[in-house]
Amino acid sequence: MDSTTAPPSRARLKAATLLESVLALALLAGASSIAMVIYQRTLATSRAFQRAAAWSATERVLDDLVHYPAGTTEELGGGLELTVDVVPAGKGLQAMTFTCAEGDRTILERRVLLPAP
Amino acid sequence: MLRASALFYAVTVALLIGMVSAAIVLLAHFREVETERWLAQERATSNARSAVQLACAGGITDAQAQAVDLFGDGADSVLVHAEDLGLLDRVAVRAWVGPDEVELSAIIGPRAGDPRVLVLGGADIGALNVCGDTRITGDVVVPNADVRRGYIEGRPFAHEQLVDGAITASPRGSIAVGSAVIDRIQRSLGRLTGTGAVPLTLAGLAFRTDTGDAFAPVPVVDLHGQRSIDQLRLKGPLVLRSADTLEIGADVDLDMVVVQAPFIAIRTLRPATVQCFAERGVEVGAGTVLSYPSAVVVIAEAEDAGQCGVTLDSAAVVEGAVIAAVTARSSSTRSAVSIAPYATVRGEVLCDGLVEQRGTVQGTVWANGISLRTASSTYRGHLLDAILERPPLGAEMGALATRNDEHKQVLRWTAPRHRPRVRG
Repeated sequence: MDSTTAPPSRARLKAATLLESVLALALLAGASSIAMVIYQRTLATSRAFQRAAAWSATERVLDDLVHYPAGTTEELGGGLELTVDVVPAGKGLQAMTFTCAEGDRTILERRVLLPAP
Repeated sequence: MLRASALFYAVTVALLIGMVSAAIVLLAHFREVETERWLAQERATSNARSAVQLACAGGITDAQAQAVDLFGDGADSVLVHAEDLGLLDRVAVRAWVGPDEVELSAIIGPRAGDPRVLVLGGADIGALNVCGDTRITGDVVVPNADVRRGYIEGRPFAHEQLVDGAITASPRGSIAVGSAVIDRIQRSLGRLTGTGAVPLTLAGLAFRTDTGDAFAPVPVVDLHGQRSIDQLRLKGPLVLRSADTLEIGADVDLDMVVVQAPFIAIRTLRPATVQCFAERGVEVGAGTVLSYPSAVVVIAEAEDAGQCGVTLDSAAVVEGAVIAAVTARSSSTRSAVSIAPYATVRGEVLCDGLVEQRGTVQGTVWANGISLRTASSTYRGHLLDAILERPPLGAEMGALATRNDEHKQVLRWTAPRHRPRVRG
């Protein structure tokens, strides 16, 4: 046999025992599962985008007040609901309250003073 | 050679997955923090705008800056300062949420004007004669409700209907510029230029460091002996004061500037937003455009000033208020407003003397008489080629003079300035 010629490579993962193989696979599966759970939980508990979306919805209502009288409720999608309340706030003024809720949980509350119509 | 077993590779991959997961959590956390910060800034800006609306409704009366609880529960407090700026009001607001605060200011004033286009004092007993291409669209109030077809200089009235609107008799008494308006102007100018004013020179304006500071006092530029200015860009709020006749040249850019001088000739060909206050007269040059909210005001206090007033040359445009009044007790001082052909006023003309109207007024003329000067003579109670009409809907520019105590609107906003909150 010629010493300069290497035998063809047939490399493969080597496990000392079957137990090591099982542990390795279990470790990979566990790490992947934890990562998926963290990712899903992060998305589910992140309220930042919901609050930003709710704020943008209130800005849209302020730009188009004619179509949003007192007591209007609007579905914003994603389970969010926006309610508009108006009360007089002194001479020539009205206080408008926007409440954005997801079920029973209030995501955002905003109050604005505007000229009375 | 390092020989790795399956467990080694699994640990390595698990570490990589863990690092990616940690990065996701950290990014989500930073996103939350940034979004909450953005929401806090937006909420502070919203509160600041609400405070300005409160000032528009007359809810801010103290001359000093005051803390206001907007909704009565202590959660949305702002610091508000409202001050007169001539016929307008300047409102400065500072609002804060958490560690951030925002400052902004606004110019507010009344907008909706009177529905009538001409109101003459009842002391004048002559009829109103309409001649030439005069068009009156709107209600008029004239002595004895007497409007007639006129004929002047070979120009008979060219239309069928004298007035496209109601004609009502003037009540007894003369038209007067209300003492409330005069007091407001004198108080405002006295405060702006009195003790506590920040004196500057024209050169010193370039070195101001408080530009953008909503609570900074309005700077006053005293021109001393300088009788004309040209090739300047002045952005207010700012007061220009001269003790002598002042001519504003063709290449001057004025934005929210108050000008005070005994006599002012404004000839700028750049659109300007300016309030002129004079004691002898104001002349608005040909082609000069004073955009809303502008005001041209002459208040004569001297006993023997002769005729004082406002002159609008051909193609001049004033959007806002034109006021001429005499406060002197002597009867030798007369106020007058002269609007040349093709000149336009959008808003109010308020004069306790005579108005010569040969241009266009989209708004209301209040006067104690109409006059008309031709090459051959001067006529009383005649309109020749004058247009008096209501402004288009939504484009009202009246009421700076006559409705200054009513609910106001925001006429100009400044951009909000965000910064970390400074306590104390």
